[in-house]
Amino acid sequence: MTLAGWTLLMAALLSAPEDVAERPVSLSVWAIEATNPAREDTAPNRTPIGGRTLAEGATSQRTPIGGGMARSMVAPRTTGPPSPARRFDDGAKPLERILADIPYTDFKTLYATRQNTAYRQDAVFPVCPKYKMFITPLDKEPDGRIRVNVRVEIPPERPEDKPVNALETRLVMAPGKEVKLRGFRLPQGELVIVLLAGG
Amino acid sequence: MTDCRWTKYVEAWFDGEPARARGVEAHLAECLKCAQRLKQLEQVRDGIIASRRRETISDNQFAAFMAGIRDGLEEAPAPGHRRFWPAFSLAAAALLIAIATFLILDTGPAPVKATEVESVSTDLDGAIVGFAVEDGVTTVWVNDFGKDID
Repeated sequence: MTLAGWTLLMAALLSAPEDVAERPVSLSVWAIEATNPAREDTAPNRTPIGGRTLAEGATSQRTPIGGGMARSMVAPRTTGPPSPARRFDDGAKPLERILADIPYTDFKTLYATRQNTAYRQDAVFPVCPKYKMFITPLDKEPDGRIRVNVRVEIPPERPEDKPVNALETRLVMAPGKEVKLRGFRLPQGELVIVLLAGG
Repeated sequence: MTDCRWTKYVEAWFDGEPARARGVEAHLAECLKCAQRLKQLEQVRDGIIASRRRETISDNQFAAFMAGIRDGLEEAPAPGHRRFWPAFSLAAAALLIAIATFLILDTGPAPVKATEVESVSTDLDGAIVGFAVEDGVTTVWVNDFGKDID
């Protein structure tokens, strides 16, 4: 075999195999406006932080991001039954089970989309005028779960101001399993974002 | 006894070669050495004839005789044939063991776990964050305790 042939053979052997994790990730997003509170207190958590009284079934963890935007994290247990008189528009109706624990009665779809996003690229979702969401698929676990970075940002009112991260989270999402983000205040209620990753 | 130069012609004549037959016969009448040599050759021939025994196969021996011939013919391909089957059996057994080992140790794909929250944070002053999993649905939340979002 000539030198060129050996060179081609070595190049073929040493070339990196195709990475299946580089296939785009399918992201489905629903932004639901929840209004008409079913009970007086609609906050997702009323439990004090810092090791004091915790809600039943809650756990306390600290997971700082980067240089230490540390916050105490508490896993609350839902309290109280959902309101019996609940109304869902056509877009929110399929999410009725997901939204069962949201203490509001009216659910209206503000934004719904599904798009494919490449790994390590930001996908922007303008869920409503008050919030903008960024999702960045990072990598894929061997069991098929997809690691994503999700950031819900409050755009600045003035151009010279900087946006504020209302929530930033890193998730390892199981395909076909919904994730709910809530607690984003709206003038008439609360914004609930439902995410679904696949592919 | 040194050979006469006619000795080789005498031996050839004894073996039936017709060349110089008359010369050999005349020489034998004159040469004592060649005559003795001829007598030795005759004695050897006569001895061989006397000791030679003709083998015969009787009727009741004929079947065994033919069976022996057939066995000799059928055994001829054995050497290569014998080596192939043991090696093949060994390779087949090794393959079966390898397949069985693979099937036993292969536990299949890992079961997919639920969504995992690796980290969560907020830049909102005074707000707290948390997460919970209920009925297979993961909820990540932020609570600013009723503050207006500017």
